[in-house]
Amino acid sequence: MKRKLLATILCASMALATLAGCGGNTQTASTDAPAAETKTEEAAPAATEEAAPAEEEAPALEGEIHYAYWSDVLGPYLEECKANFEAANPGVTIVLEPTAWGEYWTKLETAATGGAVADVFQMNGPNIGKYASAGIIVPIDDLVANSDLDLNNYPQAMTDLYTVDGNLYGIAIDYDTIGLWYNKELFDAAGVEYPTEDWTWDDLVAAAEKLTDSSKGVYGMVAGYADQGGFYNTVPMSGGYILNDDKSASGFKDPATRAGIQCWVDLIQKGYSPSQASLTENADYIQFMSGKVAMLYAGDWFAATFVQDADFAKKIDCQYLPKMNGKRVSVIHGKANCISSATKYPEAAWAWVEYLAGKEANEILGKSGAAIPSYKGCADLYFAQFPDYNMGIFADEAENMSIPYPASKTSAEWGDIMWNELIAAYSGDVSVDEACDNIAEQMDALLASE
Amino acid sequence: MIAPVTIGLIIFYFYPFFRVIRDSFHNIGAFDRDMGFVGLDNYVGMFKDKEMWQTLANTFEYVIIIVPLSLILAMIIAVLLNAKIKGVSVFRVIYFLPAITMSVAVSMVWRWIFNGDFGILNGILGSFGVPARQWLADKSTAMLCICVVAIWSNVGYYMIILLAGIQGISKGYYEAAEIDGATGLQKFFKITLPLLTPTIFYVVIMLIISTFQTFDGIYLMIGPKSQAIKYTQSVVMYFYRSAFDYSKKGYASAIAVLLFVIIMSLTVFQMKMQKKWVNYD
Repeated sequence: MKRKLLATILCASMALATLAGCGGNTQTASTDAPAAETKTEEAAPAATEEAAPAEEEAPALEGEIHYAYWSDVLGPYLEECKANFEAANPGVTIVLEPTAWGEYWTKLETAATGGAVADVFQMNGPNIGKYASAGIIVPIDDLVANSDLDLNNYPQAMTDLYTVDGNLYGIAIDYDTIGLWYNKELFDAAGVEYPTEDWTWDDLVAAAEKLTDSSKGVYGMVAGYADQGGFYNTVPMSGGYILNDDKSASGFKDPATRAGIQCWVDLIQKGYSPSQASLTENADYIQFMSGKVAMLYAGDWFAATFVQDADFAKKIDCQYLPKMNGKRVSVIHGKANCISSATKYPEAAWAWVEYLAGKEANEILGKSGAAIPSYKGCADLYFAQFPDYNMGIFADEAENMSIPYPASKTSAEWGDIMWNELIAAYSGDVSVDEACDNIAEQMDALLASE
Repeated sequence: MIAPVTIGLIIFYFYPFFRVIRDSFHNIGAFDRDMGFVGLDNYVGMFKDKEMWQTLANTFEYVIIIVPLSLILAMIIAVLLNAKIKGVSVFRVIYFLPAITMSVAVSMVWRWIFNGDFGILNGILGSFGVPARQWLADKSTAMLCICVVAIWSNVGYYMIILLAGIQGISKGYYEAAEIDGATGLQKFFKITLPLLTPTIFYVVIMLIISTFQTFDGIYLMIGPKSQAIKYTQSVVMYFYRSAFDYSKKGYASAIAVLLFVIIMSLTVFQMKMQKKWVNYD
């Protein structure tokens, strides 16, 4: 009996160990974290001091720089940048490490935890606070100050987004705003006029109603859960806010904020949009591309995806977001390059970031048609790749009607809270009010802890 | 000679095992920052966490549905494939195939079968006038889908184990029964079943452990970004989300320890109970 019991315990403990295996890298936890922190503090000034002479005397840089990024459409642009950079810096090898969007953040966090993170990696708004405050990435203020880069060449909103506690952590690669994409073929079939610059949200709802044809399984509009491509735009338009100016409280108690979310849920409940369940199974842009939906709120970067389907590409165009309350705003966001605090080659890493931030790399990005280059004056190169579309709206929105992407140190966490509560509201399981009450309570507690 | 195995065990099993127990008493956040010893806070937190209770309920539901159905189906197929029929080895291979297919591949294919807009299932049901539904995103059907796939994957593997058990039963018993005029069903219930109990016992234990650890099907077919996840996630899935999506590694460790305790006590209970029904000749 004793032996059997022992066998049982062993069996069960293996079961547990299998679980633990997933989190295998947790080992290095407590011991490595402080080490990483001190490294950050040392690495930054060290890099600064050495980067400055490197500019003047140009001694050969050396090292192997791993560069992690998620967007697959960036591949050709990065290959070209890599070739140019390596030609100019023979001692440096750039290793490109693409990861699918769905796994990027999990992989990056695991790698950062285990100390094996890429030397330079792409960052976004929801995660910058988390990585900066944990000391995973280094501040680059001094590096920028000692270089030829001029921050005035990049959108202010991007510099603000990547500034945490007064320190700049990344230089924007690109920027993006949201537009209303529509399927002309479906508009023609339903006899509805194309969206115009003067459209209001009510016009959109009226058009969505006419475009919806349940016998053919066609819907007017996609209204599933989306933050950047959804309520982050309608909430400010209806007079609400996600995060207050000093990032001390959320705006989810404000009825105006709720109105900016309710308008989406209404579209689903009226049947003008596929259900949230349908959109969970098949992403919004896939339904749009399959001709099931006539209108979609989506960023300019979707152009690159849409044109991959030559037939579909001819059927669509884009327009300004419709106004609400006489107001039109689009949230502006963009990716940035950040340098790992664990990199062995800080000079080479900075040189790569500096190169990507320069005009040459931005021009390559624009011509590749992957994203709007962040460098002033390069946007037209990108728009020129899509002559059939009304792409100018994205630049106009960015310059004249954009609001900064809401972010704070705990963005990643309250982003999960918003999703968790609102997905139930979009599914019709709870009311928008109930979901917003729950978000406000949890998010305010998080913000208070920052 | 056993050093490599022992070292492997220590590194990959024993060290993580004790590490997880230790971590479950600490508050560990993103990038494994240890914010100190918190005593039983993680365990108390689990008690107060509604999602944890829902997750436990889901997991027990999986066990209650998947274990008996897998066992019964595996048993029926094992008996059928023990008969002298033409092409029996072809059938054995066919039934065993799911067991040797990558679970990722299995899940991807089933995900398309169940897909609400483009799936085969809705296509077939639609031709009978059944309205389409989002099988995997609808919280009322998502769990059923996971169970179907799990049972389908389980049956082949356990069928082979049971088949081996059946073939180990001496032919003499059956010959004696035939002389006495026993029917097929009588032979099954009076001879096969009692003599197969040690194999069944093994199968039940393995099924319960593996079902408690259900993860890949849920991760791949439902995914962490579906509104159905709360209503379908197993303890292991919630462990994964807590650790890697929400960066609460201390809490996740506590979940893992809880699962360990549940599985161990269930297994001990079964070991005790086996005297009552398992027949070792």
